[in-house]
Amino acid sequence: MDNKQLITHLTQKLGRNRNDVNKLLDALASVVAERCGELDSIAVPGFGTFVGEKHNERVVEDNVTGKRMLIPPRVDLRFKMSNVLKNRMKTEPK
Amino acid sequence: MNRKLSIIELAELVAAKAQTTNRMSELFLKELFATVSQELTEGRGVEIKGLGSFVMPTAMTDDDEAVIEFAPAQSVADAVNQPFAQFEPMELSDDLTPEQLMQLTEIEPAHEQAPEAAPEEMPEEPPVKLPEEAPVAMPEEIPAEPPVEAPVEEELPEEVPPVISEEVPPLMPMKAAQETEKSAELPEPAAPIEEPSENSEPSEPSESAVSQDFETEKRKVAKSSLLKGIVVGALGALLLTSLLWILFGPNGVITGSATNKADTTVVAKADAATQKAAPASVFTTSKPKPAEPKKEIPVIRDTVTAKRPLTVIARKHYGNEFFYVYIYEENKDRISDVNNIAPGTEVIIPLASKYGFDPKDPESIKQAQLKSMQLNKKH
Repeated sequence: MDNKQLITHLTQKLGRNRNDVNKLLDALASVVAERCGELDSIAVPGFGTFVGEKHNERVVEDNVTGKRMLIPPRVDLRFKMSNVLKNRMKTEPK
Repeated sequence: MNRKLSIIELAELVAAKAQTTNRMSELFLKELFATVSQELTEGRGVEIKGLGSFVMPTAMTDDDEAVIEFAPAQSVADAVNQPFAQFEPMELSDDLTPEQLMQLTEIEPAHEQAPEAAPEEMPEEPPVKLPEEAPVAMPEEIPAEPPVEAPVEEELPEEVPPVISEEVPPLMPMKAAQETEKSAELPEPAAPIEEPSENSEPSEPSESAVSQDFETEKRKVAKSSLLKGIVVGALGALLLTSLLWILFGPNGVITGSATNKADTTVVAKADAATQKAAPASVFTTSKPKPAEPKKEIPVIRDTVTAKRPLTVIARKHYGNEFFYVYIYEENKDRISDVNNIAPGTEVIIPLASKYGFDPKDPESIKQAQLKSMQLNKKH
């Protein structure tokens, strides 16, 4: 399902126009980015958790060339599936 | 930090952002995630623009568990990583031994306990090690920088005046001869003009500035009227006499030919004195003023933008990005978070001597590296 189909689906379900749905999606994206940027996590029951994960800086050595690189710290947005969703995917046929 | 937000809190935040009711946003989130999970259970990936895409895995894990993969959209990934966006992986110099890295990790807890103490200590350590080498290295390092023109201009006059003093004499007598015919009557005003030129002698940059102007104006002479020629001749004569004064005057040793030329030029000046004495003297005396402040150590400034973080600025000015730590030191009062500087912030680039580092010295680079690591550890 691509973005267009998703928006169409949501407009039908919610009874709102595309503009409103787009606005809500944008708001969701910015809230997720904001909160996870501060290393918070957002739990959506029955679906999963969005987590901002901080990776500390580290030194990586290239085995071939022997050069050492300093990899800077980084924050990643990760999504962890909830068990409910996992089980659903396991049991329901594809 | 490390707070777990429930869906209700999320709904409130989204509602505030989208300027809609909490109920509406709750409904929306419920519907959205229900749809996405439905799609996923049916084995289809979902793409949400601006957030990311949920992709079905190609292979199952051992215990027959499908783990969907979430790939955040670039915009979101960048926003999340924004505090560290300015960093790039960098190669460590071979000089940095594992022992030093170990030292660093040992130091780290101390910094976490007292993060404020670290920056104050830093500038004091290096000056002890290399106080005298650094000042010399700085002008050499960045001669092409626009703000650091002063050293370049100071070098110029040393080279230029001898060249001109050789070129000018052959030119001058011809012009001066023309002028002498017209202006033999007024020799007295020559002295007043010579005095301002004498005053300008101590500051050599003015000589080159005048000579450049003279060069450009010399070209005009060919095209324009004799009047202009007289003015230029006067200027040149002024220059020549002042040069002669510099070279021979103070010592009292004046060669025969030099005196002859000096005489003609003095006469030539007499003519100019009537017409353009004031502008000419203003010209020479006003020049030294802008030249003098440049001799002092220039304050180099640069502006942080989204594409030019401190590291890039440091690479530009010092040749090595690690030295951004010193720029941070210098501008601590206006940078609250070194990893998150507002674009448009103007920073002062300190001279290497101020913090006693030498951009070319591997030892200094190593020190800066360690400092950079300590700085990062705090965040």
